[in-house]
Amino acid sequence: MAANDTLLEFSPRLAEIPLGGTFGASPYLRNDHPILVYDGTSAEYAYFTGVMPQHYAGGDVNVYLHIAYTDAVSGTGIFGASFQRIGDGIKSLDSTTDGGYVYAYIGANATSGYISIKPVSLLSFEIDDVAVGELFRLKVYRYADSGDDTAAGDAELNYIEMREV
Amino acid sequence: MAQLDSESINEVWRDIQQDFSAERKVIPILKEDLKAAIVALDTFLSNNASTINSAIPQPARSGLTTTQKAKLLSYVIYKRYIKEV
Repeated sequence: MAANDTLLEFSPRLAEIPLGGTFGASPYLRNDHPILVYDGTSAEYAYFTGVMPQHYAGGDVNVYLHIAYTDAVSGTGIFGASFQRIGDGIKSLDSTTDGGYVYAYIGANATSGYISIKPVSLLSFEIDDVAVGELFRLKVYRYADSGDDTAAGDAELNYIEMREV
Repeated sequence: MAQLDSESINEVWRDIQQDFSAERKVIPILKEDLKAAIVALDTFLSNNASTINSAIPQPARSGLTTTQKAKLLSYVIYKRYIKEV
């Protein structure tokens, strides 16, 4: 397994949206592309569940987010990623603790409809000690209520790629 | 009427962004620029409320409530600038 090779990929169709409340990102289509829409002023999130692949060597992980903005052609959105280990008898499904959020600032492309691809970079100890073969949950969050999130309107998650650094 | 409080400004700010996103039209300015425009328009309406009221002829000016006159203004704006012919 070479550094920077893909560990896992997630389509927006695999998103697990929280039930009830107003905190969940919304599945939608843009020109028939499945997307996950994050509101422009309220913080929203979605989960993606996976099993850490056998070729993971225990290193740092980059979570590449493929983001477009519905309206904005300037400004920046703030996106966070966190890992929650579930594993084999490690953590209860009812647990809400995770490895903590790491953030990335993702700028709007000057051309509407263009995607920006940026990594959220997590050190190995920041992925909640998820080990090979273990179930985990990745949470992807937009901090639209932060004053540093300046891109107006909705943001659209088009794809996620996890790579080991 | 006094100017809108910050919570109301934020509600307008949230609603207008959701409206723009639903239309999928480009917003070439930042979120804070949008908020500044909302605040400025609210200030303008506060400063010019009596002038707008004076533009309404009688008997509508004294016969309608403030809320009815505000709806009247919004309908005219909508027809002039928003509703596509």
